[in-house]
Amino acid sequence: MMGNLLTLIVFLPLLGALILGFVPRSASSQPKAIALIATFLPLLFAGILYGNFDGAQHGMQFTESKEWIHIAHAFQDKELVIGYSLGVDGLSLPFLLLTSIVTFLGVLATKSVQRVKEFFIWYLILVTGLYGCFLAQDLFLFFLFLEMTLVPMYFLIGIWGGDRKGQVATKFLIYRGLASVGILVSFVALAFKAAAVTGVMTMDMTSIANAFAKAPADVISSSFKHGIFLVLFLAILIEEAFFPFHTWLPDTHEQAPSTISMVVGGVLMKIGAYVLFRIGVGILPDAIQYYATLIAVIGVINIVYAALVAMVQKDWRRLLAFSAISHMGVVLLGVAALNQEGLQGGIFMTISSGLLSGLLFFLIGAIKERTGTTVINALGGLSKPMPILAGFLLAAALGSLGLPGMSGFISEILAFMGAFAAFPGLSAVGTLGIIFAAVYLLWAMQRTTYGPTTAQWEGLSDARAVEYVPMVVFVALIILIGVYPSILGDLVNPTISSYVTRIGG
Amino acid sequence: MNAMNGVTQLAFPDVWHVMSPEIILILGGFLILVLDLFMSKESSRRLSPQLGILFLIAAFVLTIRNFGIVADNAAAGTGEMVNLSNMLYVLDDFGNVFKLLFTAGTAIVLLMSMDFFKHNLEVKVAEYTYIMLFATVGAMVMASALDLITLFVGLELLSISSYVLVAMRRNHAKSTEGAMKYLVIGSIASAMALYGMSFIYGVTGQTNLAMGAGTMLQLWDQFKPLLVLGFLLMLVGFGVKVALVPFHQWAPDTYEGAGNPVTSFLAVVSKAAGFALILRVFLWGFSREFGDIYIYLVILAAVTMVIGNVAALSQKNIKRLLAYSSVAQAGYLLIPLATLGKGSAIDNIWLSLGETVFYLVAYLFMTMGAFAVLSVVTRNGGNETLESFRGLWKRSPFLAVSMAVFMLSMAGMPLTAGFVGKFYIFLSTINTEMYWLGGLLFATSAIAFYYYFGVLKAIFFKDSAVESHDKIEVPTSIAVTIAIGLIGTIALGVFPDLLMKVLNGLHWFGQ
Repeated sequence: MMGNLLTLIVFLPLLGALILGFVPRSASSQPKAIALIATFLPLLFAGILYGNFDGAQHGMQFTESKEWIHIAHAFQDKELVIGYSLGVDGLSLPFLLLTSIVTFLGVLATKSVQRVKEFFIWYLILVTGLYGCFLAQDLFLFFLFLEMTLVPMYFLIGIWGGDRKGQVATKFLIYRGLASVGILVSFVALAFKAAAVTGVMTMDMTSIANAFAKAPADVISSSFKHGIFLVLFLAILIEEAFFPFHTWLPDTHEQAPSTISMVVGGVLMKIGAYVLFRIGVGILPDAIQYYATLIAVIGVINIVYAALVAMVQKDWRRLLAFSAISHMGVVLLGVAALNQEGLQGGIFMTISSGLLSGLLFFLIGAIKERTGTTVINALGGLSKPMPILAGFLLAAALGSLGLPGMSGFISEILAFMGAFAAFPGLSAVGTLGIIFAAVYLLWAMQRTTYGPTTAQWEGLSDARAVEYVPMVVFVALIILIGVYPSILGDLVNPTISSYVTRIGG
Repeated sequence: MNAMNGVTQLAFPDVWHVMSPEIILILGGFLILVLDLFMSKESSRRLSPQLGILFLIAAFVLTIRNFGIVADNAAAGTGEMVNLSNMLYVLDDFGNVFKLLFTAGTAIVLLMSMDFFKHNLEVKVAEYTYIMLFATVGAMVMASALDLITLFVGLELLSISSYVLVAMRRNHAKSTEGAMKYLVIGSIASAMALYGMSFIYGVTGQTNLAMGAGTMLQLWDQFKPLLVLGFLLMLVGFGVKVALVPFHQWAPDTYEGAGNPVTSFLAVVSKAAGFALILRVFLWGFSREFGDIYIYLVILAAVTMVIGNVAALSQKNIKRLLAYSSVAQAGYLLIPLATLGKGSAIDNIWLSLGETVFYLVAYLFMTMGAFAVLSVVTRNGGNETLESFRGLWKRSPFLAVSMAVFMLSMAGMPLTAGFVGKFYIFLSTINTEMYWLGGLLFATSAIAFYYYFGVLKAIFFKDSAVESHDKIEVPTSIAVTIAIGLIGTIALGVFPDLLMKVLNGLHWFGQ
């Protein structure tokens, strides 16, 4: 079974979706049960995989590879073989674990949706796409899975969203669709250039990375690398919802049902960061070096601008969306530094932000379910009727603003340590984001949970037993990474070291 | 080779050897025509399309047999193509592939038509059937002839039959209007193409492409303006047939006016025939001069993709929407030809042909399927706007999911034939370093998301306006059509090698 572990993880959710297709529409509880199984088994397998993962190695493990599509004459009369190939290394493993945790808890957190069968069908297709993105070792396969997240999201927002759902679903589609164009164009250009070096065309990520690493400058000119990187970077800015292409994210978070918000904030949005690490740092480090200042500036703009915008938000979900944008700005800053700490901090921040977003959107969803609103001014004094939910919300907010002992703190420390070495001035401006985060999060907290309790919120029920699972799991992981960062660091360090060595040499 | 002086007598076995699929269809057409005179009206209405399909299947089988003849000939290595009267009419895999496409396409159209006849009693079924068979023969001639005059005869046979087919619903004002527009613009286009051919003939003294090409190469520098003018005029003429921008204006009105099966015939068979003609004429006549002229094709491809997709954004009528979408698809289809000018043109020809044909096959499946769904849904909804698709998922999950697959394929989503087809075409733009054209291909496809997903939005997001949640009955013939479309779209999307391997192994021009 170990041989096909990755395939199982990727396609079990899809199998679940297929099975759901045969469940009668009137069935009410089966869909959720099937979805739970179809997301729990991958979680279990991901755990087994984590247990058997050899942390000392920096290459791909658990690889599976089959030839899939042959395209004749693709490059100078030679054929291009597209492979169905999966694998994990220290970079994909954290994303894989994050996906398995968030998507399982997402199902658990889902309550009272209409058309429940269809909801979970789309949800499970989305989950397969997410797993595939992080496990694919072939650029073509990656792209395929990326598009596989696009279509279900369109329906998930468009059918189960708020009152502006149709419009927001379309916006999501167009933004992400354009990002896909950039990604595909740059992927294919990468493959062709790598072919010019090796003489054999392939879309295998490792081969392309190797070809680029040893390519002489006259075969792959730096201007070409810079050009490709710019196209890819634009796509990443959209995928990852960075300023100035970020507007789809607050809209999506505001309109999507809370389960989907959890998955978007927790996993989907992190695909852009993953591409930045895997393709940007892994294949085009020279281009990152060349554009380092630009990337760092965009990073700082994101940190400060999004934090300022977050301060004036009236809706919790929009606030959290901007908060996530601000936090992910730190990733750009860390990546631009291109040193061990910076890159490590970037990955820590991505994973930490994924966990925190998952938790925060879950909690806000739970509050919305009870109060029917997420508007900050309409809430107030919630700590009295629901002390436990309010407590976890406070914990999440503190984690998000970087309280020591939680994952956000170690992420920011690492990223800024790396960034200060490279861009002291910019990084100093960037640290403003930490202060702003404290301001808007505590302010929003204060108006939500403290103060006099509005009469209409009296007697609201507190957390149910089933809700403890996501809350406790998320908080435990956030604290675990915070107090014992090696649990994540040991995974990613070999991979990052191999990247950094390549940059140095 | 010398021009022919005397007249050669063609023996029937020779003709049969080269033209058996065409002959069987012509015989079939006349048989239906004659039988109609003797049969009762009802049995003629019932039997004619079935007979038509039977003959199309026979032609399909005979075409498959012809692949063997070409392969044997190529294996013999004589370098001679199987042909009639000095390359007037040739038998090669290029023509064979297109003939498969035409016969299969027309057969599916006739299958769809059986339901159409039930609801349009004024349509004369036997007439409709044999005209469609003759139109298919016209398309086949366009794919197989190597002489400008013969090609033109094929073009006119297809065109005139199509005008009649569009006008078949005589009491239907929109039909008449669509047919009228198609007739006027189509005739002008034919005249343009003929005018262009006359320049080529004037310079080379040949109407035969195989013989004219060498002469043209020699005279290229000396008579370049005239030859390019000839090329451009032909491009306009053929461009109208496949609805390239800016010669696409007839398409929305004609598509809207024609009955659904006829529209899908125009969208698939007629368009594929247009591309067969374009490829045949330009690859044989001009391939060595592509470096000079490809830029016109690039411009047309780019403009067609942009305008086609942008114009589709505002369409509310689903058939007009699909008409503009089909304009945009013509732009994608032109790219393989347009990229030939860059790089080593001759080496790229085989690849370009494979890409074009793959996309045409993908297009056949998704378009036929979409029109089949459309014909049931619009009749059920009482109008042809997007409104009639509202809440379809409740009224018929089968139709809803099928339409979703077809729309996703047209939009170019992975795991559908449409995506793979586009990806092949995209690779060719990068291979020839026309990055911007490749970028434009996918950027316009992303714009197209808006209207393709608009259909999905109507199907899944909204409830039916008419509050009738009655299940829609899907007639068997339509269900079969949809199933063929679904299987083709998904199979080619997941396992494109099934078809691509075959295409790569062909002896395109008999070699």
